[in-house]
Amino acid sequence: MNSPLLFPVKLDGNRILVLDETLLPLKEEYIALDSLDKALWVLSQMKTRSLGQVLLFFYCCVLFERNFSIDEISRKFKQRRPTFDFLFLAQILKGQMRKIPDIREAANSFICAFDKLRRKRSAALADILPADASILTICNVNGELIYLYQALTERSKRATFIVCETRPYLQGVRLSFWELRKNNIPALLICDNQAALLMRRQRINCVVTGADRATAKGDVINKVGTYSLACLAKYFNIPFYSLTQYPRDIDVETIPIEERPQQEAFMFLEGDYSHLDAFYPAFDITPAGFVTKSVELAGRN
Amino acid sequence: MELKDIKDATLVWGALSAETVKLLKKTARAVVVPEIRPALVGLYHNAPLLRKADIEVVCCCDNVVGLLFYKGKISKTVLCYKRQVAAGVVARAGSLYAALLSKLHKVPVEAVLEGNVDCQGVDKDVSTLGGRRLIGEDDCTRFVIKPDDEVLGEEVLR
Repeated sequence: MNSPLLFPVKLDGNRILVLDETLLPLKEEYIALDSLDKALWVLSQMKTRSLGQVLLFFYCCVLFERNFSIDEISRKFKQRRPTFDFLFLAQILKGQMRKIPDIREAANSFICAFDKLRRKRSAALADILPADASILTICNVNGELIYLYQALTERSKRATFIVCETRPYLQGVRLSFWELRKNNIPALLICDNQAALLMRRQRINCVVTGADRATAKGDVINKVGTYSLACLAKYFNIPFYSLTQYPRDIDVETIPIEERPQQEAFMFLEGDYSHLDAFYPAFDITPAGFVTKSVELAGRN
Repeated sequence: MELKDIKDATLVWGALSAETVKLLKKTARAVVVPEIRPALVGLYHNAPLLRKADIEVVCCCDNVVGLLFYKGKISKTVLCYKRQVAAGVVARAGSLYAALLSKLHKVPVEAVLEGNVDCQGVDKDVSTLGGRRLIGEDDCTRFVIKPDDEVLGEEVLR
């Protein structure tokens, strides 16, 4: 089992290769980067996101640290994607460099360890999911649903993923559904708005999502639509699990919610919608009270 | 437009009728129009009708609805249904999602009869968007859950 989304950004000598996620699944193409400006453009154009932006940040630090400090790079990243905690990523990398002074080795070592932790996190979640899991999910967690399925299978548990399409960028259908089906993992696709009916019909017995940010209290910030699922899941008594990393002791309401250009609300639709007003907040907040368990990166529940 | 610009808005789910548009013209400060997948009735039917009536319209994706309620941006939900049945009303796919989120945030739901909307020839496939194919051909039909009309009862209508 494999997915290019497990490591969507790679270091290739003195350039960075970024999987263009906006073209998937119809085209699997990489963008080659040799400057920080181009990396920032890739970031702002949503060519990569989630784990991809973490890898992109680390590799930009590796290649461009001679001209820009790690803190400077993190600030530039944060200007493009304000919700994600790039400043904390900078602290992580600097901490890693205290143990391994060579920045390339430090970054690679962290990324390698991170992947092992993701597998452990999936295993920890697999332990608590039902024996016949019908898992509602949204957006994409960079191959971790594949790890989860493997872990469930190892425990002789069965699973079907019900994937919300995740408008407007359609990461659910184009990334999650695609990578699951590519690995012959049972998956069904739905429109975002079908979730409530399927919950009422008892077609779903758990919800699993990623998290772009998490607080020590248990609040989660993730792709917009996550809160709706959590809210409905609570109403229908369906457990909601969030895959989190590095929860911070901060007030969730102080984290800026990125609002993307309004025309992105019409992404992937043909035609001209410039005459319509729209808005597209990229994330929403799910308060701790709606989260049954945050499954942390260290594998602790 | 940004989230901060939206205040005291009315959310519309289902296909609006001319009568409801007239009512909204009198009562609504601004109307939020989710696109309403899969047929995009919000985008292709509701938004043009409201704009023609000179009502302030702002569009969004369906999954933003929860955030709007969470942020207290919506003061009323107008749910357009197809027909009445003993258990309540029959409404198009996604109505339970919108109406239940509304009720869970203590925002009143007003049910009104849908308008005529011609969906003949309109793409209603989950795996495509406005006729545009998004995934490989093999996966297009066998692995989707087709949207159904939904029965909404007391849980959202009272």
